[in-house]
Amino acid sequence: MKTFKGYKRPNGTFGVRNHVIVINTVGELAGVANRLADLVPGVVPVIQQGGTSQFPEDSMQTIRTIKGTVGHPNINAALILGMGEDDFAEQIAAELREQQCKVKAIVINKSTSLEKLLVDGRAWLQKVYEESLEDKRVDVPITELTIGLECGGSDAWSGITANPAIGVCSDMIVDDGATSILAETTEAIGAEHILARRAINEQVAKDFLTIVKNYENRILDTGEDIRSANPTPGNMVGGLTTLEEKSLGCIKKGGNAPLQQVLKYAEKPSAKGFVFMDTPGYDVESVAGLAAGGCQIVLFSTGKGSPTGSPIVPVIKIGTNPKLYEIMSEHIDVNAGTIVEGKKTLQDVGEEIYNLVLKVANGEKTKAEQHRNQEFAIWRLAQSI
Amino acid sequence: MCKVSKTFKGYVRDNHSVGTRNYIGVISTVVCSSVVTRDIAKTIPEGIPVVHANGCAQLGDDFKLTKNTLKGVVANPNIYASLLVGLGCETNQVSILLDETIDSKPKAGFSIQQMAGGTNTLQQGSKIVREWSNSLKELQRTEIPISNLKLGILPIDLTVEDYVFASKTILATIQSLVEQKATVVLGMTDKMERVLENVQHQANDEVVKQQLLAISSSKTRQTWDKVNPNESNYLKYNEADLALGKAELEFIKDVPIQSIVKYAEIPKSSGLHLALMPNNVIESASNLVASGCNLIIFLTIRPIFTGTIAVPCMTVGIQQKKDVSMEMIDYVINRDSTPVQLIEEMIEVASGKLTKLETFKLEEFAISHIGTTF
Repeated sequence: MKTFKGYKRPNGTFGVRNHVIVINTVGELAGVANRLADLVPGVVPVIQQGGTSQFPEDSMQTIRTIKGTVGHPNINAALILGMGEDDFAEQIAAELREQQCKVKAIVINKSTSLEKLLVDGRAWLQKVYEESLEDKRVDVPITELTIGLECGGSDAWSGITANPAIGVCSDMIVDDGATSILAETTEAIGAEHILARRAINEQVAKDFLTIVKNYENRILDTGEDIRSANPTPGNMVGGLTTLEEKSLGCIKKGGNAPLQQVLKYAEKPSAKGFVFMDTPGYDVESVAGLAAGGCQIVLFSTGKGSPTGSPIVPVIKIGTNPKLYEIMSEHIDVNAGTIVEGKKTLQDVGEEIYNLVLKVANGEKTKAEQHRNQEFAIWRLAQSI
Repeated sequence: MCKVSKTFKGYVRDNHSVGTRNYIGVISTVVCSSVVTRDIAKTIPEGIPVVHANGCAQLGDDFKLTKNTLKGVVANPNIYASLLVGLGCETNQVSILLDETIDSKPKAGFSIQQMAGGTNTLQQGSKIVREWSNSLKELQRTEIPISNLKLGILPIDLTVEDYVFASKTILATIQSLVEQKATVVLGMTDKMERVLENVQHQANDEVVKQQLLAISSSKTRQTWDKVNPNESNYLKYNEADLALGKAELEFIKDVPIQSIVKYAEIPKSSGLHLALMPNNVIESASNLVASGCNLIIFLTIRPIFTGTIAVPCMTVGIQQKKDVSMEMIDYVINRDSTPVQLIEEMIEVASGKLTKLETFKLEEFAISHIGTTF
């Protein structure tokens, strides 16, 4: 059995990182969360601006994402900041503590002293951070690994080099008995029938076709057509002409494995193998959903070049073309442009990505981690109310 | 009416707008450029990072709102100059946004992809903002008529009792400012929106009157995913809700209403304007920045834990209550409070006194959504 060196959690999951985070349930506490993280070097702020004035569907999605983030295997300990009587911070903390996660909630009310809050929050974070430094990596079966598949700033090479190479890696991960999650529902539009044919049964195929159709209909319901804005301006500069062309390239990241399951945004898979998560194509929101759904590492192809990462999971960047690697190597971990140059095959680069996944799982830092790219945003379904 | 004629010490811009602060805005056009945006802003003392979660994969009105908000930030009188920083491939193209922002202030913009990476972007951005920083130091505060005050007011979590208690002071304050040709933008709660027909007689013209009536009879969905929702899918407002809305109207009793300000819209005249607002504090305050306010007051009965980037947010408590922490409250309206005192406190803040939220550096920025991302 292949293994990697990870962190064993009391609940039986395994992380590839050992983060201590502070996260806010409502936008009003974003600044306080940032202040607390600043007080304890090494603590990672996970900041979001929603959590209030949202439709019930948006609220549920926000709660699911925050819970998935706090309970993620890459998290050693988390401080959740909530506000007011109806806040869900304490409920999430209680549920996760039952799952043996190290979580504390501080719920702020009208009598809360900010200075005391900062003192108390800092003391707890300092204590758990120091404890986290004592943790040692252990051998973990590769079957415990879940990777996410993402693309951003795509160009005409994406579907020819980086995405199919990621597909090779994804198939290797699935062959190992691990899990690979493809995302970005809007970038399956026009190619959904191809993925649906790979579903393990009619229900999974139907689930997948339904999320694609629903997404397009919801946008049409607002009087807009996604094809009016996707491909984006940058995609078009990169040579992509239609959404269908972009989608055909996008789904290549999913390799050839059978589609086992279709997940909601930020939902954890119950099956091993290749699965699909309903996310937007908006990279940062999509990566946040993949991470909250349990991915420990995300593979991210880019043709135009993107520095974005995640506060809780390493994001590996795979560049699609040689020019990109030449000018933006500071953000690119794997150069799939070597395929264009005829220096390597898809199989070669797929194996290179796979080997890097194992190194990153063992602790090697990605370019996004080196540059402290910790962008985070939760997919918004509708307007603020 | 409160008879007070005052000036404040502000920064006069080349376009004759007046700032209460003197910042250089480093503005990300998309979430993907937020890290380098923060890094550039940190290189100068006057730099403020305007970062948010929007900017790509947006459509129609949702996308327009993001653009209009960022254009409003660039135009805000508290911003001396703006550097727009994009990724390059996003929907919200930096070159287009730069063209659409006002020309009367120093501005520049580029993307990470255009600069071939974050390191080059940081270097180039730092160079530009350092030059602006040197020019900005020459600007001094000067005595300015209060007519240049653009005050945003946000009531937060108030009860009918609180509105009744504060209405005399707030109404007199608004009347005084309007009398002296200042601009007041009141952020409406959703309850106030429901009862706007009661102030139709205060509309400045027929267009505003019709807008008040239209908003008053409009409906808000209870859930978002129903196409053509029926009656049961709309939010219901009971008598208590409507009483709350009517209590808020006491703040503006008989004051002429110049316009209804939509999200990120800049009022075209002085006087009282009513603004449509989400209930999210930071989104609302950021909206007021985009609407050109140079001072914001939160009317509240509890500490507020966030201000917004670029504009001082002053927390005004209503009655000193034993169970409320006062360390974040800048001013308390008590039984013996007068509008003169409140205006004097606002003038001090407008002239440079730091608010509690500024002192604690609790300043964030967020843009509302009116649709989903794709």
